[in-house]
Amino acid sequence: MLLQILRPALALAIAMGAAAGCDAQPPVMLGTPGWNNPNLPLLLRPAEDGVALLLRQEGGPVALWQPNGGGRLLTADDSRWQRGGQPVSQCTGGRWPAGLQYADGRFTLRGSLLVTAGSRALSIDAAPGGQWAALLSSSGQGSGLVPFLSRGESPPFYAQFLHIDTGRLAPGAARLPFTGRVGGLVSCWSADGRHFLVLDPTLNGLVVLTLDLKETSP
Amino acid sequence: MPGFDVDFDATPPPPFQPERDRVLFNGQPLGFLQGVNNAWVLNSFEIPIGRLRFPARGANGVAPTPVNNDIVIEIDTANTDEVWCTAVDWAALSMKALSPLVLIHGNGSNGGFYERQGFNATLRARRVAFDNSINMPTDFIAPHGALLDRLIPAIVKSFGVDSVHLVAHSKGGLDSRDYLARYQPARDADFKVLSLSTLSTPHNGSVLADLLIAYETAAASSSFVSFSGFPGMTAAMARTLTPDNGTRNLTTGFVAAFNGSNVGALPAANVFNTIAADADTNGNAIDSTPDEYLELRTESTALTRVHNLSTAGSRGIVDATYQILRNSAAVSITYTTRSLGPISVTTSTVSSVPVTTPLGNDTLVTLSSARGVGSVAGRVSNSFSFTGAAGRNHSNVANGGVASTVLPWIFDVERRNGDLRF
Repeated sequence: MLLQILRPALALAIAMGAAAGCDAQPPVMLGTPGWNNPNLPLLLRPAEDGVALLLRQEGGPVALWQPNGGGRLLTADDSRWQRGGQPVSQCTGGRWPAGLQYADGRFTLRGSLLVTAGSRALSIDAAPGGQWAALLSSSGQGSGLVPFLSRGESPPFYAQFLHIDTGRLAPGAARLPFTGRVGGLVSCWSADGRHFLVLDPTLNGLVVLTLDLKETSP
Repeated sequence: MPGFDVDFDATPPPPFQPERDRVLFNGQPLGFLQGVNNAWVLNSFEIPIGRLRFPARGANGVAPTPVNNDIVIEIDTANTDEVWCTAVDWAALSMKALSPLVLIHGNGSNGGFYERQGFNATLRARRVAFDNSINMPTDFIAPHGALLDRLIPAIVKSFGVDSVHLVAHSKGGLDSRDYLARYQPARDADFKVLSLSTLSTPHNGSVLADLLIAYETAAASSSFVSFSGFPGMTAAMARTLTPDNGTRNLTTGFVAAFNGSNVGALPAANVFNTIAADADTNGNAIDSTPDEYLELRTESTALTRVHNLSTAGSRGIVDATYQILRNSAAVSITYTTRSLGPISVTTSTVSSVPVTTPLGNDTLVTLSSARGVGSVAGRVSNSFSFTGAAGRNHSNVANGGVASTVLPWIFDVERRNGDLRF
């Protein structure tokens, strides 16, 4: 599954394959290999080939994600994790771009409202390179029955990508295939900024979005 | 303000008078310069604070635009002819002022929380400068710590100050601790955080969060989940509440791990204060008469809707959360797998691990967790628990009376470490 983001150098006509209705496949849900401690963050690092991704919880089994992995995670041994080529990312939440404000379920960047696919913006997470940020939103009805404990964030969830310098969102949004009872989503970028992961908080489902951030002429 | 050659006590020949140089501050007279012949003498005046002009606060990230306070000296006002002259080298204006308070909201809330619950009203009445502009989306502790590192410096700059106090409600206290441990040391050269006062912050996590996450975990891997040792409404409540990312960082397990890295990294210079509360004001569980959860409804339209349909229903929900915290030390899950022919069915039971002594709580956080017993309590300078008739729920633990309790602690920090030092 490949979501392509093309960023012409000047015009910034950004296209995201799947969400824009191009030929990319919609995001698929991957089952996870026995990660069962919600108190431990997910760790990931690009594999030594720079294409695949290695994922694990601390002390847990290592899983391998490959673009052509047939919609599932493969098992990998610990030595492969040790050989991983790049720094480990921890899925503990997002880094905020400069100039961002949040109020009443909406983000504004340098005073301009970011119109999200879901009615409620949930989180934003700047990519390691600092040019892009992933924006998650939800249209599910929240309950909030016990204040401060739950907003009842529920499907459908969406991921969008923001070019931070221009404040423009890439056209379209990836609808994330989480269903049923899902409150909040765990997300993180790989250290090389090529993969954005979204994890079901029950640790049973994972979506990998692969981003090809290219600069092309206008 | 040093004045030169002010012949205040001179005895000139008639009809001339000794030198009287009138000082006006912002157009209003302060008095006369004092001095002696051919010498510099330092003059000091005490000015009522109300006569000073202060700049308006800047926008976040923008320093205030300075304004002028005008000093005019009318020379030799006692004589009609020009007899005396003087010189003033410089003038300085100094005052002692309390550093502003930066208010940080809790999970799933916003900066308006402090307004709604009355905390701000007390600050205004006491002429205390504060900011409650921080609005954070519902998220984990770590991104909130990083976000506060963006927001707090901008707020500090807007006041034009070099120190602030933090006041944080609920999870905002954990967010603030994360900020203080990971980011504030690098900010110390620019400004200081003198104190952090937490209002019902779950410094040791909340079993209520444990319960929701346990249910979620159990439901994800079994076809039927039952509850044991919890109030009857627990099952319906757990099914309704989908915990957000903030709640995931409020489990006792997560906060214990957080404390492991955070408490030792908290800057030694910061003063910590805690407020804890018990919502049961009359010792007979949560009531609608007297209304012990009115302020919780202020913060939840969903709970208000239920209340408008059925007072018993809303009371039941709030009392269930109260009783879970009162009677559960922890939450456990047990799984049972049975084979039904070729099919195996897994069921799970989410159980309460009972306490030996009931735990007072504000419906979301226990007294001991809010005090940080066994975690941050060793770093806490001041602590107060609102219990009995003075009890508070998780919302009005930020009301005006609580502000009146916290402010003397903050003044004390200022007198010892801040701008109110004498």
